[in-house]
Amino acid sequence: MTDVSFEVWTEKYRPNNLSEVRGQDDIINRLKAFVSSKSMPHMIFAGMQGTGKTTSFLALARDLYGDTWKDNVLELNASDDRGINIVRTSIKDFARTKAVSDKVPFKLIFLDEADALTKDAQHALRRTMEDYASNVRFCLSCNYSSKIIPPIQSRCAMFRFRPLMREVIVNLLKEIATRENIVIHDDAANFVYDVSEGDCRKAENMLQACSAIATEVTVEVVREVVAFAEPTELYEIIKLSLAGDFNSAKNKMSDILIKYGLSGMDAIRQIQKQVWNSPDFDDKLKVQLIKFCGEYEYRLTEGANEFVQLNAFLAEVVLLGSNVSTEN
Amino acid sequence: MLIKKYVPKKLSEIIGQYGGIVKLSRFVKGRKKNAVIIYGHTGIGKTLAARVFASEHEFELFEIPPSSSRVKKEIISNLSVATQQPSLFGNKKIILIDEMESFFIGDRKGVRDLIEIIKKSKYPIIFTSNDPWNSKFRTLRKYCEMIEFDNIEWKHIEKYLKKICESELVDVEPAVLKKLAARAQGDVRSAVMDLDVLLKDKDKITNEDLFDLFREREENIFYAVKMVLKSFDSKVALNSFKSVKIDASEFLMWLDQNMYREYMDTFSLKYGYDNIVLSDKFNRRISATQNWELAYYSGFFTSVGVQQAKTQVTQNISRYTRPEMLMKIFALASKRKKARGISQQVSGKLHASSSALMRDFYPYFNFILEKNPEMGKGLTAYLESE
Repeated sequence: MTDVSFEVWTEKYRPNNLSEVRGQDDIINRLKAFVSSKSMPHMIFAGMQGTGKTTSFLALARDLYGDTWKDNVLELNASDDRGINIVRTSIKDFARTKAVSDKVPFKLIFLDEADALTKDAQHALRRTMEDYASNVRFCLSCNYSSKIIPPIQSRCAMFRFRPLMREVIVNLLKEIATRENIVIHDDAANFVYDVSEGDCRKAENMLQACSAIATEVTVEVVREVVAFAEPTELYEIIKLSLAGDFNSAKNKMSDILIKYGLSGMDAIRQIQKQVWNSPDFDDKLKVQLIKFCGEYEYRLTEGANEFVQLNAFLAEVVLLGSNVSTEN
Repeated sequence: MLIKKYVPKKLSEIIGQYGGIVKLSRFVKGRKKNAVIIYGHTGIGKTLAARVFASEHEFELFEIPPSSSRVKKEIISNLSVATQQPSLFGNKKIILIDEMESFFIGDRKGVRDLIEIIKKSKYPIIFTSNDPWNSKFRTLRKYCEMIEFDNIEWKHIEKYLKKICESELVDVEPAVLKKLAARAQGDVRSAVMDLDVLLKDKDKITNEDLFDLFREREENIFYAVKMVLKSFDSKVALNSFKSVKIDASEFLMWLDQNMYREYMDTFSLKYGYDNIVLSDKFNRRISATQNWELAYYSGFFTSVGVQQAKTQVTQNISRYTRPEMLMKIFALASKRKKARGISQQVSGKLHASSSALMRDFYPYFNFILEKNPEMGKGLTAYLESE
């Protein structure tokens, strides 16, 4: 065993059973009913990251199997594990044997990011689900349920995870802080929630990062962490471009990409968020800018060189800027 | 030759492969399987790591060099002896089979024989490979552990080149080393070779020398850039682009670097980029379909397309510069690779996909590593524990 004085908090404070899972009461009640009847259908967990899909699944498995849960559960990731073939072989190997439990007659397979599978792969998956329906239940997790093909959807019970409410995350952060012997100010906890956008994993990681530099977490502390970890200065590039300083904007763009290790896609999505939230642009301008974001987010999927695509995006904004200034 | 003179003698001198070397030593000590495949691009230290590991830990090394030789039978029989016989000097022994692909060209029986040898071997066997996922090695892989060696980050290469220059008592402009390192794209061997060429009988290397090395080509590229940005004659643009024999994917970086100096009005700039992006789109199509006929279009838009996008020619005399983009692309790729690598490693432990962890976990973990090393160490140990 290793020294456990340091743990990643998202694991340390991950709920161990369904009753501890927060913010998703309706879903949890239905899952509890499955546990007490020891029977369940295939399931789809749909919702954004950090809303408790994996946590609810793991808690369900523990409640269902007790100590032997690890032997009865297979966790797979559709986006990391190379292709549907690997997924199918591991499912086959796992499903061949009976559940290691005298009470529950089936095993569980959790397929994370199932919406990363292509349509063809999903059809293959559908067949696999039917082949092993006698002794395996599937739980597919995804961001968007619409990206799961209808034949699979119709075979599954759908659970929609909503982003966690502000008070759920704020309270959780405060509890963790107490148990870790640190203090978090109200406004700091709220600020963490704002940045995390309801993503609980991100919020907890953020708090842990804060604890690395302070025992009293203030807004300033959170700000220092966020400035390090999140590319908050992207919208300044837009301002530079609107003002016509293309070359500075372009250099700054590549610097930020490298500093934060962002893909072109990450950058455009961030810009779109920051433009929307910024008080510096009027609504008409926002519409124009976000139109470009959409256009280039799509073009990035068609292009080969993301730097060039982003620079073209900036050239577009420069032109927009010169039009706006002549109108005024 | 520099590459021979400065070959690392100790594991600690091998740059950029710390993780791979740790795994290698775990393999030799743990020996869950009899063989291991070390894989990765050329020139990043796979064979070197195996050799230095053997000498540092006092293993006798039985090495089979890369060969397309037809005397496989002989090699196989040598191998089966070597994997059974005790070492001559009573030392421990390691078998190294370098570049396994070259050894098995068009031969499935060879693979079978080898698997038998692996099964029976008394000593660890190390393979190196550029392409271990080839289907003909499928069965072989089951008997081997897999260790991936990373491309060397350009910063490491730069540092290494600098050390060589210092002990050679050569004075080098820092920018030169940066460029050499970036050009190598992770291949430290080729970077040292380039340096060797530059260094011939000199005690000082400047940017100009590097320039000389690639000058003729560059002058032509600069000329083509000028013809695209300054002239309106489409034939001149197309011909000067074609005469430099440069890929459109590279040429558009030269335009990206210099266009803003010439296309001062915002319309020209925007429509210039429209054409660069169009060329880029064709580059993507080419790589996706391998239809090289399309290269005509990517070349056309990045030369004539960009040329015709301008509304006027500026009268100023611009000094063009070489593109910085390649280095930036490389820096970004190595940064992302590192983030992805760590996220993948902890993905099982943290029950989340690597892409989610790259976004939600890695930046904050990185913050802790930087600001509170002690806590960083503790968390690393936690993440590495079984």
